[in-house]
Amino acid sequence: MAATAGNNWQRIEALFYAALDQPPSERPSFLERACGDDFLLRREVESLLEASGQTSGFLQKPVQEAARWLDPVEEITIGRQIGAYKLLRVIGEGGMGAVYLAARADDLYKQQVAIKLMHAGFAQTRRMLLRFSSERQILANLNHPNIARLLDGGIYTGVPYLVMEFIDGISIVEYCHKNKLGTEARLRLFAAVCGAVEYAHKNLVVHRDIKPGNILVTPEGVPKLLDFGIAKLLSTGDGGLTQTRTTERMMTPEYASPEQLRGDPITTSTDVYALGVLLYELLSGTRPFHLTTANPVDIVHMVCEQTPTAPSRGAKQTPDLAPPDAARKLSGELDNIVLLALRKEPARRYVSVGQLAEDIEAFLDGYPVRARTDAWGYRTSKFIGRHKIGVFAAIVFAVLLVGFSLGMALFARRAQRERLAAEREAQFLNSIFQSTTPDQTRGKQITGQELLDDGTRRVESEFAGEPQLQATLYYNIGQAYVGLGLYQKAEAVLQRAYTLRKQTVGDSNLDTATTLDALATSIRLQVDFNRAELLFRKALVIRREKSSATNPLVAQSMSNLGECLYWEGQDAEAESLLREARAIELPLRPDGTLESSDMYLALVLERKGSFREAADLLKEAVSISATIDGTESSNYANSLHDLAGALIDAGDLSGAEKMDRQSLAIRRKINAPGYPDLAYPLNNLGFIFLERGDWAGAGPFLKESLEIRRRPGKADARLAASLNNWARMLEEKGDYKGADDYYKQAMEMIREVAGAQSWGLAKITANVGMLRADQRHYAQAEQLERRAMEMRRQLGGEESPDLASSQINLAIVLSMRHELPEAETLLRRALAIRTKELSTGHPATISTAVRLGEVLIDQGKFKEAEAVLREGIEELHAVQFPLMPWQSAEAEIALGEADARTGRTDEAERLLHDTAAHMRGYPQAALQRQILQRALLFSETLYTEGR
Amino acid sequence: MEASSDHQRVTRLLQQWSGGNKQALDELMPLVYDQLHRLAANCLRAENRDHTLRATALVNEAYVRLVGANVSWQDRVHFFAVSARMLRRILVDHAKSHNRQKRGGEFEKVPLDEAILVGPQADKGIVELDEALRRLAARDVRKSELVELLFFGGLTYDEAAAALNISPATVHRELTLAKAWLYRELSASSA
Repeated sequence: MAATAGNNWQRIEALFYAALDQPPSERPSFLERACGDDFLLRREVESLLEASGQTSGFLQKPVQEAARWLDPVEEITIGRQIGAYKLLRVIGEGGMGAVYLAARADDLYKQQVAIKLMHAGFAQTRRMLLRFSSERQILANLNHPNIARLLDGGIYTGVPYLVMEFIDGISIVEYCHKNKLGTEARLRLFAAVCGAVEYAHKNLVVHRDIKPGNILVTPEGVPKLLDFGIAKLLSTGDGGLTQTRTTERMMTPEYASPEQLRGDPITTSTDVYALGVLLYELLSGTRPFHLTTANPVDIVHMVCEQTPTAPSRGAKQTPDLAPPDAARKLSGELDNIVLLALRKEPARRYVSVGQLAEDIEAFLDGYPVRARTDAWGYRTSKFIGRHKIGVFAAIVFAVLLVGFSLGMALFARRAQRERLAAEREAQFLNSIFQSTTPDQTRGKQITGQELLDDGTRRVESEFAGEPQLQATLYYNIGQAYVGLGLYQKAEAVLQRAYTLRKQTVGDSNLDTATTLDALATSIRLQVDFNRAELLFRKALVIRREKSSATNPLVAQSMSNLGECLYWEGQDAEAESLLREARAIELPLRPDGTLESSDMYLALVLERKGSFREAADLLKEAVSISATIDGTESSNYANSLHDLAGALIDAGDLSGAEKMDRQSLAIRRKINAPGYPDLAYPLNNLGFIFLERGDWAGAGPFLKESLEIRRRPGKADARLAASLNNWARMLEEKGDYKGADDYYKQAMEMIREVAGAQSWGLAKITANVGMLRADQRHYAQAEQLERRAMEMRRQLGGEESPDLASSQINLAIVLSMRHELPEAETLLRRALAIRTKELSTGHPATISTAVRLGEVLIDQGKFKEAEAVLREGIEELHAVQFPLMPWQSAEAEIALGEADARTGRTDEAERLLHDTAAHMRGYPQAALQRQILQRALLFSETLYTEGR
Repeated sequence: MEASSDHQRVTRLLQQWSGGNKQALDELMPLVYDQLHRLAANCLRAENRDHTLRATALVNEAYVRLVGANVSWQDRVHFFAVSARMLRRILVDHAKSHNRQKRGGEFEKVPLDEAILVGPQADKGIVELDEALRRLAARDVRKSELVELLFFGGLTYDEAAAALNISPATVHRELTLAKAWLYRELSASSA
C-alpha cells in the first residue's frame, strides 16, 4: 500500500546522499545517469540539493523567536507611563515592591495617585503574584472613608501594579506628637481607626499588619488605613474558608501578636492586639515591649510571655511623647482597656474590634468600661492554638471563630441582654474546643465530626429556653458540618435552626431567609434538587419582600435557585435567573471577579450549545480562582473541572484531560478519600478515556467515582450518570451483558429522579440503542434510537446538539440495515446542525462529515462523497484541537476510497500513506489494527481494480 | 522531600524506558511537560543575555530539577529527548494561542500560567515549522526527531546519535537532508 511512497523517499534519500558526495560540478551528470527518464525523481533531488546550500541558521530563528516570551520584563523607571499614569517619584519601598507617586498622564499634577509596583524579580514568582492580586481583590472589596481606596490596577510588562488613593499625610503617632494632641483627641482618632478595621473584619478581611506606618493622617485630621499587603481573606464569599496562618513572617515585630510570632492561626483578634499596641503607643508615647535590640528568641519570649507594664506607667518614662495631659487623664480604666486588648490568648482579648471601640466611647462619655470588670469568665489560661489538635478540628475552629467573632461584631452594638447572649455563644463555641486538648481526649485524636456532634447535644440541653441563641448556634454548627461534607447532619441541625427562627422571628424575616438558604444548600449538596428548589424559592420570596430588588442577597437566592434548576434541567428559567443575578452582582463586584452564578450560567449556555460564551466565562473563572483562592483550593479545583467540561464539549479532549487531572490532584490533596466532590473529575476523566476508545484507561476512574456516588445509598442524577458511564466502559470492553445490566440500573434511576422525559433519559436510551446495534439487534436498536431522538426533539427543538447526535446514531443503525437514503438525510441534517452550532474543525463535525461520506460511497455517489470528505479533511488540517489519530485515519481512508473510485489513485495512495503515519505510535493497539485492516482491505481493492 | 521522590521516580522511569518499556515513556512525558511548563511560566530573569537559546537552558533546568545525579549517560540523553518533544509542544501551543488571540477568532486555549505573563507575541514561524516537522515525520520519523532533539532539546550531535541509536556520521548526513527538506517546505509555504 504505502510502500511506493516509502520506497520513493528512500530512493530520494539515497540519491541525495550520493549526489552530495560528488563534487558540485559532477552532480548534474551524476543525477542524469542515476535517474534516467524519471524526471520527477530528479527534480525532487535537485531541489533538495539546492535548498541544502541555504539552510544555515534558518531553524534556530523560529525556535528562538518563540522562546523569546520566556524572557522577562524591562526595567521600570521614573517618568515611565504605566496604564494612564506617569511615575513621578518613589515614595516608599517595601519588601515586595516600591510605591510611586504618579499622576494621570493626560492631566499632569492634577490628580495624584500612589502606584504600588511589585519588584520585577518578585513578580516572577507565583506566590508573590498571588499575594499581590489578593491585595487587589481585598482592597477592591473595601470602601470606607478611613481606608485608602483602590482606584485601578493591572499588569505592566508582566508586573502587576495597584493604583491607590494618594494619602498626603504623616503617621498617626507623628501626627499626634506634632500637634500635641491631648488624650481625648488621640482616643477619637483611634476610635476612627477601629471603625475602619471593624469594617474590614465585617468584610472578612484581617489586616495583620496594623502599625503607625500604615495609618496616615491627612492635614484635615482624617486617619487612613493603608497597605493590606499581608492582609488575608478569612473566608471566601461562598462559605469556603482559608486557614490564615503566618508562615512567612513579614510583620513588624513590635506590633506582632503572640500568635503571629508562633505561627498559629490568625483571626480578627490579631488585629485587636495590634490596635492595643497602637493605643498603648498613642497614650504613653512608648511601646509595650522594647524589641529593637533583642534577638529573635528574646522577642518571642517577651511578646508571648511577659506582661507589659501599664501604659500610665509607660507614659511617665517618656513624657515628651505622651499626651500633654497624660498624667491627669491616664487612669486605671484606660490601662485596663489597653491590657485587655493585649492579652496573650486571642480568646481572652476583646471579642471584636467593635467592643474595643465601644469601650473607648464609653470612656469618653464617662460610662464604665467593660475592661475594668474582669467578668469574662474565661477560666482557661491555655489557648487552643498551643495544642496540637487534629487538622479537622483546626479547620472547624477557624470556621466557628470567624463565625462568632463576626457575629460578635454585629451583636456588639445591640442591647445588653443580647450582648450577654453573644458572649455566652462565644464562650460555648470556645468550650467545644476545650475538649480537644490531648489530656481530655487521652491522647486520642478527636475528629471534627465528633466535636460537632457533641456541640449539637450541648446546644440542645444547655440553651433550652433560649431559642434565638440556639438557632444561631445550630446555624453555625450546620455550616461547619457542610464544610466537612456531612450534609445530612448539616440538614438536621439547620432544620432545627429554621424551626426555631420561624417560632421566634417569624417566616418573613431576613434571618429566617438566611437560615433557609443554608438549609436548602445542605439539601442541594445531597443532590435532592426538588426539595432544595422549594426552599430556595421561599428564601427568595422573603428576600425580595424584605430588601430592595437589587440587593446582593436577592442575587444570591436567585443564583442558588438557578443552580438547582440547572440540575433539574429547567434551563430556560435557570438561564434567566442566573443572568439576572449576574446583572445585580456585576456592578458590586470588583473588576474581573466571577461568582458561582457565572459558572452555572456557563453550564447552562454550554448545554444550549453556546460553547464559546460558556468557555469564555469558565476560562476567566479559572485564572481568577487561581489568584484569589490559590491553587490548592476547592474553588480552584471546581473551576478547572468546569472548564474541562466546556473543553470536552468544544472538542478539546486533551485540554480537558489536563484540567481534570489537575483538579483531581488538588482534590486528592485537600479532601479525604471518598469525599463526594472527588467524583467530579474522576467521572470526567473516565469519560475522556472512553471517548478515546480507551476503556482500560477509563476503568479505574469510573470505578472510583461510582463507588463514591453509591455511598449515600440514594437515587440521584449523578449516580445515574456514573452507572451509565460504567455501562459504556463494559460495552467498549465487549461485556454486553454487564453493560445491559448497568444501563438498566441507570435508566431506572434517572426515571425515578427526573421523570419520564429528560436529557439524561434520552442519553441512556440512545446508549442502549447503540448497545443493541453492537449486539446486532438492529430492529430494537432502531426503535430505541427513534425514541431517544423524539425525546430530544421535544426537549430541545430542532437544532440542539443532542438532536444531531441522535440523528447520527439512527443513521448508523439504518446504514447497517442498508436503509441508506434515510441515513443520508439524517446525516445531512446532523451535519447542518453541527456546522452551525460548533466551531470550525470541531471533531464532532468532522466525524459527521466522515459518516456522511461513507454513506454516500455506499450508495455509489462517489463525487458527492469526495466533496464532503475533502471539505472535512481540509478542516481537519486547519483544526485547532488535536484529534485522535483514528479520527484523522477514518477521514483519510474514506476520502482515499472516494478518490480511488473517481480515478484519482495517486491521491488515494498518498492518503493511505498519511494514514499509516497517523496511526503510528498510537497506543490503542486494537483500534489501530482495526483501522489499518480497513486501509489494507481497501488498498487491495485499489490495486486489483484501479491499477 | 518532594523533589527527591520526583528524582527517584523520573530516574526509575528513564531506566525502564531505556530497558525497552514503552509505558514508562507515557508516564514520563506528563512529568516532564509539567516541569517545563512551570519553568517556562515562572522563568527567572536571564542573568546573561547572550545568544544561546533560552529554551535549551530551560531543558537543562528541568533536568536538574527532575533527574537525580546517578543516571547513566544513556538515560540522560533519553531525558533530553523527551524534553525536546515537550518543549516543542509548549512553544507551539503558546504561539498558537497568541496567534489565535491576534485574530480574535475561534475558541482559544490559554494555558493558565501563561495568562499571567505578558510576553512579546510569538511569531507564527514556530507553528509553520511544527507543521513542516509533522509532514516530515509522516515520511521519515527519525529525521523529524533528529531536528527536534538538536533544535528544541539542545542536544549535541553525539547525544542525538545516542538517543536515536545511530552513528554521529549518520546524524550529520540525515540532518543535511532534513534541513534541506524543511527549508524547501517552509519557503514553499511562505511564497
